[in-house]
Amino acid sequence: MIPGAFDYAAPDTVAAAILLLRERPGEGKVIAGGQSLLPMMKLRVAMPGLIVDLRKTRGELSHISNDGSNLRIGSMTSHAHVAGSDVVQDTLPVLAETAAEIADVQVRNLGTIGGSIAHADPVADYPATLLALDAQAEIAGLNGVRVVSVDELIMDAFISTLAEDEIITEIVIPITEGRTGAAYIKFANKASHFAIVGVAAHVVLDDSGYLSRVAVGITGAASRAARATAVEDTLRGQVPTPDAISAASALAADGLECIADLHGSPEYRQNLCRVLTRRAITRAVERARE
Amino acid sequence: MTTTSPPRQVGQSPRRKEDDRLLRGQGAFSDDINIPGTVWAHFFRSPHAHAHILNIDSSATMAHPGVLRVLTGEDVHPRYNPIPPVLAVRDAENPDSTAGAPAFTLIARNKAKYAGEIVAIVVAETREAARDAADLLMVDYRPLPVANTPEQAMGPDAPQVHDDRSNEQVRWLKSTENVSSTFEDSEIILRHDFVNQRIHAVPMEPRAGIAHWDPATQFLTIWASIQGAHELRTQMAEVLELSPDQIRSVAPDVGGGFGAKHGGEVEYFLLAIASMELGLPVKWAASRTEEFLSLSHARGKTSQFEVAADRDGRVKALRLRHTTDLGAFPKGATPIVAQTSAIIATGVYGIREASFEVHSVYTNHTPEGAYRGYGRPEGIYLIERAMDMLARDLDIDPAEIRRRNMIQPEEFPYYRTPGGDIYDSGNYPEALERALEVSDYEGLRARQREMRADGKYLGIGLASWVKTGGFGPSSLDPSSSMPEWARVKVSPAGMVTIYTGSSPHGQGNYTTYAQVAADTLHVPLDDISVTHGDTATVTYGSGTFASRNMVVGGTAVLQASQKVLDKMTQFAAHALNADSDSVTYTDGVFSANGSSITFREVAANINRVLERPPGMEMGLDESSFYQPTHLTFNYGTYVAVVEVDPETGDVDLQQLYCVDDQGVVVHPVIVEGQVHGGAAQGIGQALYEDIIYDDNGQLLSGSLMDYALPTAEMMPEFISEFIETPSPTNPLGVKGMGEGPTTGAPPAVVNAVVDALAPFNVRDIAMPLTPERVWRAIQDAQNGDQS
Ligand SMILES: Cc1cc2nc3c(=O)[nH]c(=O)nc-3n(C[C@H](O)[C@H](O)[C@H](O)COP(=O)(O)OP(=O)(O)OC[C@H]3O[C@@H](n4cnc5c(N)ncnc54)[C@H](O)[C@@H]3O)c2cc1C
Repeated sequence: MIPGAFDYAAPDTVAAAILLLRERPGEGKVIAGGQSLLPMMKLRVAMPGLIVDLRKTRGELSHISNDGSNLRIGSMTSHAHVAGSDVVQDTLPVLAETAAEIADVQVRNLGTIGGSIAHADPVADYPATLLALDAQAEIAGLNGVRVVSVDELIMDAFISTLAEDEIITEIVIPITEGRTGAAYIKFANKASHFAIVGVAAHVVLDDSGYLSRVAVGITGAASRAARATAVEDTLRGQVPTPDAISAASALAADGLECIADLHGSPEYRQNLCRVLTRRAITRAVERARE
Repeated sequence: MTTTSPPRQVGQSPRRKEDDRLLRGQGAFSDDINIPGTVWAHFFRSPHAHAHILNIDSSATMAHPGVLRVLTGEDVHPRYNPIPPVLAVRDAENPDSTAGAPAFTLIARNKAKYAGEIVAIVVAETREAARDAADLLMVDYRPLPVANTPEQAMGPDAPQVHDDRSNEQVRWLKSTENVSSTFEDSEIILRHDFVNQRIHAVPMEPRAGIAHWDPATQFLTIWASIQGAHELRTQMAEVLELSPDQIRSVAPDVGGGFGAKHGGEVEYFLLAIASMELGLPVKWAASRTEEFLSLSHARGKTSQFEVAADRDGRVKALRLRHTTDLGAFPKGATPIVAQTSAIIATGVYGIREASFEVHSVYTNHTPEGAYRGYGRPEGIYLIERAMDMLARDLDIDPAEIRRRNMIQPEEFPYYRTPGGDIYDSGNYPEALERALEVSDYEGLRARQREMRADGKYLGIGLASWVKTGGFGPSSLDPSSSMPEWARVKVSPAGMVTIYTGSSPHGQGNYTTYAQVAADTLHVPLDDISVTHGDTATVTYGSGTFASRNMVVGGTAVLQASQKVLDKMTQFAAHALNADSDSVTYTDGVFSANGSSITFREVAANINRVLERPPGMEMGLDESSFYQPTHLTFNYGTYVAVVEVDPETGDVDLQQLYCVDDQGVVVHPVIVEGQVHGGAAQGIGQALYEDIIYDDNGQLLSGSLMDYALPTAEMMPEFISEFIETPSPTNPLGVKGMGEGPTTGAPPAVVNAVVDALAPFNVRDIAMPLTPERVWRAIQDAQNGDQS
């Protein structure tokens, strides 16, 4: 497992990194935690000619803060940092719950939230939760910063809408007030422990106990993470009784083109979508009522 | 002479002597060995399962900076021999058995027979250059139809794996006289097809080796991650046409083998050949994917199984048609694994009539080899699953049906099974009753009923099993007798060195052999060291495999220690002016006639000519061979407890209660560790692990991202107990035990899952019981499709 030869640079700033990428079109790749890129390089699935290491930009890109209405997570923030952060725990604990589900300690210490999204792995955990929370990404390029939703950033399996010389700098997640709860439930494949299916649910209850918001993000089932809009539309405005949740969750796989691999057929994934959606919404509602 | 021991070491659990160094990362594995001037080999492997090799163009590879040589089949075949086949067939008298396996080709020539077979060796100055240059090799293949399952490979018009022989390597039949009539007369006949899926041992340390041919001295040294240095030397000599005296073979620290590293691995011969061609040390270290493709697989068997019983569940006869997927070449004696596997299928039961039909078949798959259990897990799986099916059909408790069928203690020693195994000793019902007691079986059944009322699915699975150990006795085919050798040396300072031919690589023998010697010689464990794994220091070795180390290697250590003690006693008698018969040895002190001399004094003084009795040679250095006469048979009963989530099919294995009888327990903690490790591998087969090929013979589960090797957090709570029936076959009273838990765990776990799903009418689920398979079994059973 030896990667092909490559050049290496570790610039001090995001701006310098962008310039380096710009100089070597078609060749450059940024590396964050390396937990997805390095395995691909060792398999020679990826053979970048230039590696631009972001490790010296951690001062700029590794941080977690609450700006009053949003949780802001720098793109180089490790999974372990998110999983253990008090700020996350106080605002959107479901993100910590999600980060803690990723891989093992070693991977969590190195892997980053920016890398996870940029990599657009259809079985990654973060996208389910970030979609359910309407997260946005700030992206730096030669012409400044643009902001897109994570939903728009991820295109398809391992394809994002990032340009070659763009770098994700921050993930911005709105904080909901009131009676709100969320949950992430992952059914892991026994080999890689990536999700076969993972479901994040986020709910807000109004004063009379009706669902004013319900958002469900599903990862693993299809070639990219997606919102289960049929479930959301059915349940919004309802009282989340067990029967109502079950009935809506039966629609969880609607509109998803479930994939087949060694760990699950499309039918099995559809089943998991339904079961896990019911369980995730149920848990989110319990948390909202606490 | 009489001896009184200090507190015996055997039976204690001293801290393992080998661990400190390994835990500190100070081990020296093959990949850690560096010789100045070493160059690197990369093995270029066939991407096709079956293809003609039309042309190999290595010009671009050779032009790559740092590349020294490209070797192909055209270079290797004319000059070096293939690995000779092992011809042993278990029952030589049987007229229907066929023998004679093809030699194991070192490297493909003209035709590649499995995806992963070596097509070329690229040798370069660095590992990176060898790897990069391999990408430049141009090979033209013409793909051929693939023999992808044994059933297909046995059929008409099947693609031939070997041009010179049929795909069916072994067809073997054995039967007692009254099988058909017993079936005809039986009220109850159960028939079921079972699969023991192909799996891979996945030793933690991937293979690595370094070969160094010194042209000046015409001497080859090879360090390799193997289970037996001597066996490699023997094979190396035949392949390279050298004298064994021109070869030193070393197994340094080895990170697990489990059978897969037993026997010749083509890569090591090719390293030696590359080194001889270049006159340089040549090194290689496998990647994990390379291991999946080319380090042997195991188990792959399909079985048609029938049992005849009466209405009380007493089994009268069984019939088994057992087909094994050998892959493209026979590694070691794998063609006979299916036979040993078949005949153990009568298990711990007094079944009198049995017939076995065994087919061992070549396919375009990675060769099969040994793996912890060597066929017995597959055979035991059949009878243990069938016992549960029969119990359910007849509405008898699974514990009761086992009780009714077990071989009774008074039928020992040396109970002969219909298949010809000779079980040495044991008390099978005791293991069963003890397991029921330890697990609170009745309590579990009560909890199961309560949980079912709440819509929760608890399952309880039993397996009573038996497994061979202590290979290889002279009572089998003489060609398979395998003695072991040990040497015990005491230095003038009184320090003891044990040399053993069965080199440990995780089994703990560094400690347990020392315990055996300590009990004879009355020296502290700290004064004993163990040397192994090097043909330069160890005269003879059969190796480490088949649960043999303590039985065969341990007895050799005992014998050599006794020889040393005998000589010391004679010396002491002389020193004390006494008859050796009147010398007593207590706590390391020889006494007679009111005076005494210590172990250390004897060790020192025996080298002084004036102190020795006339005719005695100086030094304390004795060796001994031990040739066992019989196999040992360890056994036990396991109880698995699972909870199944019927919505997802997820299995939560909560407890595994293990009651094992391995004869005398030398080191309880090590033995319990073997139970945990062996059971972990059995659990892997039951629930997780699967070698999967696509229709073209491509390995799909060829990495740890797709091959589900269980991790610590997937393990249950283990509750381990021992009963000790000393084996009559050897003076230590020990039985081999390392492979028993691998045999007992799969049926216990599968029986538990199927038991949990009884309310859904699930009758069987094929291993591994992945969540999807469990979920489907429930769906199918509810839709009325019986599995
Ligand atoms: C054994 C193992 C198990 C794993 N299990 C899981 C799991 O269960 N769930 C899960 O979700 N993930 C899992 N992962 C993946 C892990 O979470 C990775 O850390 C993550 O997917 C990528 O983050 P990274 O920082 O390591 O990115 P890298 O590997 O460094 O980069 C990945 C890709 O993103 C690009 N990139 C990185 N950072 C940026 C940026 N700031 N801007 C633009 N592009 C960028 C890189 O160029 C590259 O293409 C596992 C990984 C391993 C090795």
